[in-house]
Amino acid sequence: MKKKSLSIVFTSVLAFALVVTGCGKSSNDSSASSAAPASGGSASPAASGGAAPAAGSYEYKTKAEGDIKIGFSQAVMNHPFRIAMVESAKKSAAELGIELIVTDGQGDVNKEISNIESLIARKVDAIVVSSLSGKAIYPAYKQVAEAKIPLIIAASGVPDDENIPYVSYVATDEVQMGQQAAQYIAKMLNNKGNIVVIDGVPESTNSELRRQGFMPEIEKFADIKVVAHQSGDWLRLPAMQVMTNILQANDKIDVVLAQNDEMGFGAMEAIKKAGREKEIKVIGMDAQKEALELIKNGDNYVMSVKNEWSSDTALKLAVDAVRGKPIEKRVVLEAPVIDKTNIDQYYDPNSIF
Amino acid sequence: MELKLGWRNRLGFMIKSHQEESLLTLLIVIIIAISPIFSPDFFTEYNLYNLLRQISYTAIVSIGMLLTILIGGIDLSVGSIMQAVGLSSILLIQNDMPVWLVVIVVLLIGMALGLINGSLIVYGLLQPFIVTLGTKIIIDGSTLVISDGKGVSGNAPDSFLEIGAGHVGSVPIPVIIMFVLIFLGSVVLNRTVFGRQIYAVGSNQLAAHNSGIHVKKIQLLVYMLSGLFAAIAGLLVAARTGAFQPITVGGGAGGMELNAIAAVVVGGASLAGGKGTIGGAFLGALLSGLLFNLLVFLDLNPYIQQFVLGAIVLAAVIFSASKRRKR
Repeated sequence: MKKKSLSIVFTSVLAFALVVTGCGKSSNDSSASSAAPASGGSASPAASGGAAPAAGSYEYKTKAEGDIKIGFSQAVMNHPFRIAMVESAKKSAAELGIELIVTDGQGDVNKEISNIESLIARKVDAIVVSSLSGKAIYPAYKQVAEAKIPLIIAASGVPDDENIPYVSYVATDEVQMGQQAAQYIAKMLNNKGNIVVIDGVPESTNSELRRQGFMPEIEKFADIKVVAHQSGDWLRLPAMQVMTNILQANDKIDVVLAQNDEMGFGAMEAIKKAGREKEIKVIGMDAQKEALELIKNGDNYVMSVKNEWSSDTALKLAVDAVRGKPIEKRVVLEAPVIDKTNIDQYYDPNSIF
Repeated sequence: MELKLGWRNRLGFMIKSHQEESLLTLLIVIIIAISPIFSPDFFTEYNLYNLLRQISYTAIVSIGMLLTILIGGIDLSVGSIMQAVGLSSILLIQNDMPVWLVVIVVLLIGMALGLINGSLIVYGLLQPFIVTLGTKIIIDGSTLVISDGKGVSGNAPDSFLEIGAGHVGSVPIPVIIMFVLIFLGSVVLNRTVFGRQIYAVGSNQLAAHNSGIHVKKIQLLVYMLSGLFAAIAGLLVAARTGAFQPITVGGGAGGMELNAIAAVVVGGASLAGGKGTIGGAFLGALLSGLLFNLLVFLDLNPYIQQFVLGAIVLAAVIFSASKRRKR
């Protein structure tokens, strides 16, 4: 009996291993094509109300007057950026005089879908979705379209399948953010120097996109050398540890690019500990308040590319959609470069992010 | 005299012998009954089926979890098995395997993983908590390695998506599967020798062994079934979304084991084993799903659901404990 069961265990394990490894090979090609960045500026207007609806567009219910109720499905609410999105959405809803219902997907695509279904059941006039679930959220998008409710996608991955229905997609262009950082560094170094790049979680979409923008752009400058390229997992502590090692291995570093500010702070700590703050400058991304304070008050942290967390535009688009106004299908939010020259224009001590 | 119990008495007896279930039912009925006060859109056919579909995954996993808890064990790997099965089914679909074969293969994978858990526990004489925690982490790691940590989407054929998104009449297929499994599970637990043996093993392993029950076989089967139920839920989720998404922030199906344990405990089961029903586990899952769904209609702070759910779990445990003390 014992032997028999054991052999069953072994064969099952083997079968699982075979099934899994046999199929693993083809898994990569389909997931790689996630980003087709829209070229800067604005895209073509949606065909809603127009004559020939383009792929992905659909007819939705509008309301010329009366109260507006908008649902906001947030993917997760344990990260400052995502919380700031929700807070700003509440604020602009109050300003626009509309009712806002916020749901929290708790990082689980099933909960996100459930929430969106509940919003449909609640008969909201428009739904704003901020998702991190890639393609797994698409069925929910389709349900929103079937219910003829205008769908605004905010700060999520770009739907890469043209049959995925939505009314407008609002986000900063992460690729462009990477490009801007590269151009800024080149200018600052007069096209010559040694730089360190610290990525976020390497497989995350945003890290991939920022890298896609940054690397080809920086490689255009032959005399700028990337002496180290490592991951800091989006967090302060790992970035500090990684930077400590990099500092030991490299005598000459001019600039560190951290893919977000949190990692930038970690890198700066490491640089300070090594006593090399005169030599090395740090550049971050996201432009969170703490980073802006460092830019304003110090000399080390020189620049951060803003990543828009405000949901203002998304909500205004939702309201416009409900009122039947024509709407742009792709809205690229501004991602300005913030350094000492323009810090006062962007620094707000009362900002939530 | 006792043979001539009227329906009133019989109902009274049922309520007495299933106090937790009766209380839960009452609570759920009250919530649903007063829901129109908050929002007229809550009690609609659309939302009812939404709600049932939303809880179907947890409810199905809870059946397997209940079995392991009944024999005094636990299975922390169910969420990870769901993820592994989700990934496997999407990969197999990408490789143009026929849908019926995918279903069979991934259910076998679930059972195989359950069997590994069971074998380690039974033959390695190890604690179920530690074993399934270990296999959970291994399975999580494997899915991340295989998927490269990225989402995978197959161009799934409609026949596959139909499993997760389809309807019979107006009832979603996952809901039908859930009710069928609840019915079958209840019949097996209450009306068969195997079911009695599960309760016996959980109440007193030694006594069960001495009375001729093959304890090890029961344990192995229970962990296999737990893997199977997790696999069914994983398959339904994969078919619902048509894509595999790795757990992003420690939530996701990664929290499924805790949801299932909560459902089972709220449903009146004891972690010491030997006590609990599938009906109770279903009601537990229904209550937490109801709260989650209702949040959107009440405009409550999303964070509050976890608070309420935790309070209900504690209340359930306190209720059971106070009953024990009275005895």
